[in-house]
Formats: sequence, structure tokens, C-alpha cells
Amino acid sequence: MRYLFYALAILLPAGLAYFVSNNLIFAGAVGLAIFVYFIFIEYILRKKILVKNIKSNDLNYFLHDFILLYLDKKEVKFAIKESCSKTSKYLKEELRTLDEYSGIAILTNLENYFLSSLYSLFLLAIKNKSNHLEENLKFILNENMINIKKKEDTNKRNKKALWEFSILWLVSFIIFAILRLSLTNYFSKLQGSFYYLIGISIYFLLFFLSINLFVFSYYKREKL
Amino acid sequence: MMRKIINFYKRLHLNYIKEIIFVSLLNIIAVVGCISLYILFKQMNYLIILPIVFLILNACIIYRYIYLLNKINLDNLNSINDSFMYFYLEINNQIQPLEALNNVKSYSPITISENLTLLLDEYRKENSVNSFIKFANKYYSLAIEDLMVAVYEVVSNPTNKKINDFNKSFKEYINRVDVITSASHKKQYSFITLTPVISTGIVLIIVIISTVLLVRGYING
Repeated sequence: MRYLFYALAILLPAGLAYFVSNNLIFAGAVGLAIFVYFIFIEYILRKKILVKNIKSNDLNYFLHDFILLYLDKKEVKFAIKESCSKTSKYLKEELRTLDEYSGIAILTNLENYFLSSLYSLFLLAIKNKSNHLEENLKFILNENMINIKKKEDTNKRNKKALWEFSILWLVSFIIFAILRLSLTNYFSKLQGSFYYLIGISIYFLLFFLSINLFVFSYYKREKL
Repeated sequence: MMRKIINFYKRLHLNYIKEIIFVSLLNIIAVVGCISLYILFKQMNYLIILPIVFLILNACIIYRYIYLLNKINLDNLNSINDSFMYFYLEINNQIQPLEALNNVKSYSPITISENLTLLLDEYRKENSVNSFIKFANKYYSLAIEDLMVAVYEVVSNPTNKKINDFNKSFKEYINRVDVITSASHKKQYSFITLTPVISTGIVLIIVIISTVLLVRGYING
């Protein structure tokens, strides 16, 4: 599905660029610029974000299950073992290497895996073991739930924005294509015009800039 | 005026000298580029597109500043949120608020930690809310100012009632940060979804300008 989206996002503007300019080099440049940009997204940006998202999800599941189990049984090692059922294979692997350590030592070592302020706070609370441990853990659980809700809201907002963005650009392309089709003779005269070339260059430059802005908003760094 | 510009760049964590040179250079390159093209090819077109290039260039620069300002504000709100979670936890563990505030320094990013050191020094000298307000003013946020007033209340008078009041204020702050973050995200998207509309407008403007030029060409023979 993602690759189909990429293919459409490259072929549609490149095809339109050729259709309105009748210039293969111009259309090729538009297509190539977007193609190179998508390679950058796929191999650099997306990979980095995916790792962060996996760790962020691991943290949410782990903290949620751990706190509930710990409040019930009051056993750190038992809670650790039972709270990784929904987590990624990376966290399970990490926990397997730490198996011989004590419960608190495992939790301390996991701080480098999660690299999150919420986890550091949780660690501080569980290490202190004050009389208010239960309230502190409930507060952290509540914060964790807020983070999960925030993530769900962001995902919904991202999906909605992606649809809106794609449909609006598609409508823009269709308007341009209809104008070109209905004014065929007129456009053949325009194609040599300096202002026309500058105008369509600005149009595709804006398309490229808006994709760039959209990608950075979509893949905005999530708070762990 | 100059002080305002310097303060603005400081707020963006940018070196004002470098930034003014960079922006001026970009504009000079655009102007000189268009004038050189005009001199080389003797075509008025290059002079006519100069204001368009100038506008687009400066719109991009202004967008960058707005983006940076927004990002810094959100980062500040989140950093204060993370730091004061420790404060919340410690005062609820019966640690003296002033000591808890001192402990927060070790869990905070360097800038917040330095500002907290200044706050504590000033508070020990003046014993007033002023030092807390000064701390909040560094972040240009009403939410942070309200939180700091709540921190002052609990530091100056650490009773159970004040601790409960702080707990409420802190939860309110967390909600406000959430609302501000999601509003900023929505605002960003609403700007981005405007770009196809602007682009369609550009297409229509191209057609109109080109039509006018063609008609003028026919009239002039």
C-alpha cells in the first residue's frame, strides 16, 4: 500500500508535468526529485522513526502491565516476566540477556533501552520504595495512559491529514489537467512563454515543498 | 528596535549576527541574480519576477522562524513537564519542597537546571514570588507562569492543603501542554493543506497573466 502511494506520488506529478509543459526533461526532473526524496524518507527518516516508535510502544505496554502486576503481587521479577507479552522482540531479547540479574538491576539496565524521562521517573519511584510507592506508581500509570491516548490521537490526526492532503493535491492536478485538455490550442501557444514556465516551476516547487512539510509533520518525533 | 531583534533571535536560540548576515546574503543573491540575468539577456521578465522571488524567499525564512518558535515553545513546555514530575513525586513523598526543587536540578536539562539554580539563589535572598515569575518569564508561557506560582505557594508554605493545590495545578498544566501540543499539530496541518489551494490559485494566475500577454501581443500586432 505504501509503495503504491509512493508510485502514485511520483508518477502523477511527473505525468502532469509532461502533459502541461510537453517537456520530457522538465517532467523527468520533477519525477526524479520526488523519487530521490522518497528514498530519503524510506531509508533514513522512516527507519529512525520506526525504531523510536517500537521503543515508545514497548515502554507503554511494559509500564502499564508492570505497574498493574506489581501493585497486585509486589514482586519485581515476576512483574517484569509477565509484562512483556505485548512488547517487541527487541525488548524480549534485551530482557533475555538480563535474565540472571535481580529485578531492580534489570529495571535499571532497561533505562538505556527506553531512554525516556517517564521511565527514569518510574525507576526513581520503584528504587525509593517510599510509603507513597503505590500513589507514585498510580501517578506514573496515569501519565502512561495519557501518553497512549496522545499517540492514538496523533495517529488519527495523521491519517485524516494524509487523506485531506492527498485529495486536495489530486483535485489541484485534475483542475490543471482539465484546463490543459479544454484549452489545447491555447496551451500549445503558452508552452513557449517565459511566465508560463516560471509559473509551472513554482507550482511543482510548491508541491515538493508541501510534501516535505507534510512528511516532517507526519513523522514528527514522538515523545517517549 | 535592535534590542527587540536581538531578543527575538535569542528566543529562537540563533546567533543574531550570523542570522542577519545569512538573511541579508540570501536577499542580496536573489536581487543581484535577477539584475545580472536582466543585464545579460536584456529581458524585462527577469526584473518582473524579482518581487516574486523576493516574496517566496522571505516567506520561507519567516515560516522557518515560526516553526522554530513553535518547536522551542513546545520543547520548553515538555521539559518543564518532565522536570516538575520529579518535584511532584518528591513533595508527595514528604520531602521538603525547597529541597525537592533543588533535587529537580539533577534530573533536568542543563538550561532548566541553570535557571533553577538562579531561581533558588534569588528566592533565598528575596523570599518572594518574584524569582519564580522571573524563571517563568524566560519561557514566554502563561502555563509555565501559572505552574511556577503554584510551586511558589507550596515552597513558601508547605502544608498538606498547598501540596494538594499544587497537585491539582500540575495536573492542569499537563492537560494544558497536551491541548497546546495538539493545537499546534493541527495548526501545522491546516497550513500544509492550504498549499494545494494556493497552487491551484497559481495555475489560474498563470493562465490569466499568459492570456493578457497573448492578447496584448495580438493587439500590438
